[in-house]
Amino acid sequence: MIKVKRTPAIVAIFEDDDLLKSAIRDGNEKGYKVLDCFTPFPVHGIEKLLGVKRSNLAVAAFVFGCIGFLCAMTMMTYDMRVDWPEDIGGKPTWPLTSFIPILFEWSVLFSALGMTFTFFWISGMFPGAEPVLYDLRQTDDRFVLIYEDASRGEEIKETMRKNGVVEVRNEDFISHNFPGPVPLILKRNTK
Amino acid sequence: MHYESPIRDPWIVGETDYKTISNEICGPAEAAPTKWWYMAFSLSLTVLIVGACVLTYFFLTGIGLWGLNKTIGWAWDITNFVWWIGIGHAGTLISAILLIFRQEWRNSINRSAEAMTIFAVFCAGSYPVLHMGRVWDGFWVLPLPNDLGPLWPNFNSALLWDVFAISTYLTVSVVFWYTGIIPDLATLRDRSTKKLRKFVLNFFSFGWTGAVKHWNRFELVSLILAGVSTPLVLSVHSIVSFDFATSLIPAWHTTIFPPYFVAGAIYSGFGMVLTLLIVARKVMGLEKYITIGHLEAMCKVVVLTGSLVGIAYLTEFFIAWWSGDPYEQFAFMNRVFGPYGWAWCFMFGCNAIIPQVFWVRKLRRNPAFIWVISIFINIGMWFERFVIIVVALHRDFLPSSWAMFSPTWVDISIYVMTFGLFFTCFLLFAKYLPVIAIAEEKAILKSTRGGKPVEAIFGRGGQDYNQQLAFDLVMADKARNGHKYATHDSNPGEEGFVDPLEQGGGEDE
Repeated sequence: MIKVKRTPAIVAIFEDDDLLKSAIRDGNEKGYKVLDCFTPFPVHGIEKLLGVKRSNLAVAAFVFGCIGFLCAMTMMTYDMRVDWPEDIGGKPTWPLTSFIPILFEWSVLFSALGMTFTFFWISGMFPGAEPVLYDLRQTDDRFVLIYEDASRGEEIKETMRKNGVVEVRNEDFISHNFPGPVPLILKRNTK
Repeated sequence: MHYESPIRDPWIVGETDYKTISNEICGPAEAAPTKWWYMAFSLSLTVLIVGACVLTYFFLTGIGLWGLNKTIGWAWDITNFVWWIGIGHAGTLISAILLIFRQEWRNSINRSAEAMTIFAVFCAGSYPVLHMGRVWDGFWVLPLPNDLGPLWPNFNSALLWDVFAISTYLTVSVVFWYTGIIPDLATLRDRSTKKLRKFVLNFFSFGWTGAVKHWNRFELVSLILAGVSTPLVLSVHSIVSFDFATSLIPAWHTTIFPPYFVAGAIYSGFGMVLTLLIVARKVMGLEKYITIGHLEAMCKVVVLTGSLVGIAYLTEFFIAWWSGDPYEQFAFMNRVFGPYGWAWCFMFGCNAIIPQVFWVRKLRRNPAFIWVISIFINIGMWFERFVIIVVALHRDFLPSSWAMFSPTWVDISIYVMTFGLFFTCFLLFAKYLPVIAIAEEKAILKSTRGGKPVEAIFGRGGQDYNQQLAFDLVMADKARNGHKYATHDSNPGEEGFVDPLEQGGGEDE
């Protein structure tokens, strides 16, 4: 069953990405734990600061591409060599060079679709998924940084203020233990 | 390592901040349709509906309604197919290839260019289906198990490769475009107040929140999709060229076709992008984002690809002479001096000669002039496909088979219908969806302004916010960490870059 977890946290909201990064640097120096961070656009350099590892989706894309290649090869070999071999205009019965365009197209197709759907799955994205937002403008012009509030709440707030935070408050951080897309029932359990 | 040259135009003009970018791009999408939009939409929808009626008559009666005959088996149908597919390729080029080359100027034009690709492929894809005649039997091109043997399609055939190529291209383009638009749909979702609108946008934005991990994956997915789309574009139009190159017809059976077609596709696609965006930027007030610099960059691509196409034309003539093949030589003499010489003049003039005006800087920075030239580009590329197809077919090996072609009203109506389809789709897109990639524009805002100080970009403050203090902090951090703060690569320990505008006091590790 999907369990919703609420962690006491400090939500800090910035209006500039450089200030956000400076705040994260300070927080890293002082050893605060970042629970999550939301930005309206991809902020470069922030992955390194937050310790976000490089995604393995590239590997997934390659694997799906290989699957596409094998599917196309199997289909065409079965059709033209195993099931109904033909002499078409003197061309070889198993015309590997003729297969190249379709092998390439299916490798690309499977790679693109496979990788994209994997991305949606592991990010919990599907049509109608309910977003958990800490600020309505986090997809517009505000940057949200969430720290775990173990005991150093006031210290964290002070560090944020020193870095030009616009708003800082105590709030629960919502997370769940389900690795894939989270069904809509989560909506009942959130704020 | 990102370096933005100081002599380059800024890709976003004027003092702007993130909120303004959202407002100016989401504004047209959220506002009610204007009178002009209604007029344009009614016109294109009418054309589409009337065209659909002609299409129904065509399905019920057959291909005899077209001007085709035994000699000229392909004419307007395949000309229009290749024309629309070529137009589609610019969208993928802008989205994919320019992303791989890290060209920031793609960010304001890639969304509408990709949308143009998808709609152009809709229009193009109808022709291979239509030209079958017995469209209801069309599924036989697919290798589906059946009880007639089973009977399989011929995988040696370039026409079958086309089926796989075009369907893959459409699918991957839609996936690339849609994945990119999800964050912008989330922006629209969170800005919307009306219930139905919020529900629909929530459905389509897949719960996007802007989490850093998700952005990380998003950027990787975009890059890989771009990486597979680039060879896909090249392969799709090469496969389309194989429809001709794998035949024996003089002027068709030549190895120059794949690169020649791809260069021509990019050329015609950029022509259509210019036609659409010059109007859109004016009507929607987006000149700040689709700047004169963008138009200039696109004109440079136009002059490059137009010249490539011109060189291909000359190469074909040379090879025809060099080969000594009398049929090949006649085919090219006939192109220029035969009964369709006027079409060849349109083709050569519009594709090889007219784009040369863009060597002149003043001309490639004048939107109205560029728009006129873009129309010539579209016309010229249509004539290129016409010349390749009809002029090669109408006089090939056997003089007793020579014939002439003229289009019937059905040929013309179906072509006009595809315009109705294209513009209906594009107008719907321009009205209801953000025409510019909002998140990507915000991502380049700072770097495109030459790394200028950030104080102009601070938003409106909240209760704990002190603008002067924030600025002081940023400047102090710059001094402390010794790197250029206002760029993408502001990590300690990485090499700072030297901003040539900053004299003395430049932070440089």
